[in-house]
Amino acid sequence: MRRLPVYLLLDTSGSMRGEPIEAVKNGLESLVGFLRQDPFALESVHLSIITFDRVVNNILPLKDLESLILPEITTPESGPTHLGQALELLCELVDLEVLKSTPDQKGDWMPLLFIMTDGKPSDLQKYREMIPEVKQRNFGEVVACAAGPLVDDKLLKELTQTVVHLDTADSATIKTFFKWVSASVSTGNRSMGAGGDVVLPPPPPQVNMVI
Amino acid sequence: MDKIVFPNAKEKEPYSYTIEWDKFALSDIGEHYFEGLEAVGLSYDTATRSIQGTPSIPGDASVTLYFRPAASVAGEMQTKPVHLFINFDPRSLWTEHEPAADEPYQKPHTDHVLDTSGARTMVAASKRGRSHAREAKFREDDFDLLYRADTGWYIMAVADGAGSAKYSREGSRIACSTMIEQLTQAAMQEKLQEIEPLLAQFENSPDDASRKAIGDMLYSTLGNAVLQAYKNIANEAAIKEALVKDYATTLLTTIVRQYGSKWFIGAFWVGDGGVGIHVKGEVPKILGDPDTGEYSGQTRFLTMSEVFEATSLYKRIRFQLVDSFDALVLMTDGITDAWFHTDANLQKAEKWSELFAEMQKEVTLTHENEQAHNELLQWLDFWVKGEYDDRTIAILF
Repeated sequence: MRRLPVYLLLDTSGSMRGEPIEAVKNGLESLVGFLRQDPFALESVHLSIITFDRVVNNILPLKDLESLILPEITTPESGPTHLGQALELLCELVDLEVLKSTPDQKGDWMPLLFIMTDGKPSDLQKYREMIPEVKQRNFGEVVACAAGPLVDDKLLKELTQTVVHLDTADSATIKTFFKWVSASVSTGNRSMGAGGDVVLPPPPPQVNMVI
Repeated sequence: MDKIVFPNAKEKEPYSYTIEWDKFALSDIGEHYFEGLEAVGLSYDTATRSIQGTPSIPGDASVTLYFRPAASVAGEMQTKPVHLFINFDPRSLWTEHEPAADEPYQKPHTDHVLDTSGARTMVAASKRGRSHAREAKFREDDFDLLYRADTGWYIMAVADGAGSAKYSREGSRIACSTMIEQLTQAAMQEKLQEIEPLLAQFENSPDDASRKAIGDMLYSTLGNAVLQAYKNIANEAAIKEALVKDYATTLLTTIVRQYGSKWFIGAFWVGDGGVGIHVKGEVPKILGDPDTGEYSGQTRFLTMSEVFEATSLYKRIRFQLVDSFDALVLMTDGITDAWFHTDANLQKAEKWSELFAEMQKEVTLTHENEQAHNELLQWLDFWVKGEYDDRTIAILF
């Protein structure tokens, strides 16, 4: 069985508290629900969730879609956004978990990475250190989602070409984003092209691609 | 109110779960029962604290626990929601859809052919994968084959269009038909006949020099045919004002002819899939190396310029001179991934035996069987978890 590892990095810093984090939780549930009705995803997608605020936590270690149970997500009252540290943990996990092809082993599909944040990294130096590290990990696609007016798109652009901006971090908008993520994961399986690129479906109107 | 979470179940598969109440902070539970389990095909045995059964209804099951702490015997029962998800049976999720009628390069979802005009039989079949059917896409695989009674050459080609290249279904078609056309010409113009004295020399002294002479000869025939396939694709791309890589495809092709008591088999292979000579119980002779990348789904294509660097092209050309063989098989990765899984397994005799044992349950591989191509197409419908790509196989036996 070839797996499609999907890593989700979710901002759980204080500013996400309330409506935004509830929307993320709902979004996750519909993401999992949607993918479970895609027969290809059902048998290949493995999901890992890392939350980051002051602390970084792999709240859902890489698990197959069929048996995973979404964990509780909590947000502290306030505090920094340690995205750099989250990327560091991500790289460690990818090195440990993602299988590459050898003569005796079928490799995984190229992993996908989705990041959602509503602020800018508090650990900026670490964040910049980790950018080349993430790039070395050969993700099939890295999508950064900037939710709300406080995010610095330019900083996310340093990490990936695909930055989407949600003007508001309300539940309807976040939901559309997760729907789009679902569709991306769903096509990500088989769309390795001549250049090995993943082809993303067109984003919904609420999601602005940052060019 | 904390939710009680049970492990996920699967539709139509037996489920068994024994509850440890302390996990849900209910170690003091007294009288209790569940509501909603029967509705999805499960039941609860209080004595063993276990949930059993085969769920029949997929999705989120709506289950509630009614309970009283052991200490209390009277009063209203308390309730807690139970989270229990029942996964869909993947087979029920595969649906089939038709691509738009105005899409360019329409292609039938299946193709199959039987050619018994030579002493040996050629049979081939190709079928659109379930993943393409679900997404209303065309089959991207293709094949072509021909026996030249006048010159005695058996020519076969299979190709697999790249998943994300929009016109790859046409790329694979052009690649296969060009090989047949070009190699037929090479056979007719007697270019291929130059091989006979080279083979005699090779049999007398099977050294590097005589091996290279055959390799050079194949390079100029097979290699040129492959180059022509690339050119034809590039021409079509220019007409359509598309990119050559929009037609990205793999290509596996073989030419076979009998010389006296021996069989000569030449092959060219770019991409994944596999070409091999099967002799029952023996280690297969694989005619090349699959182009597999670090990750699944990565491979090389005929449309990449690096394929045509002289040394690279030369390495992709192989030949064998064998006394006899049971079957020569060309497969796209829809077959090799499902049956061999890894590159190492493609070299193993037992894996080939398994493949033929399974296939021959449904397909009778005899020269007299006029239904072989129908049976082969039927067989291509097999289920292997996680393997839903287009499947194409061509066999000479």
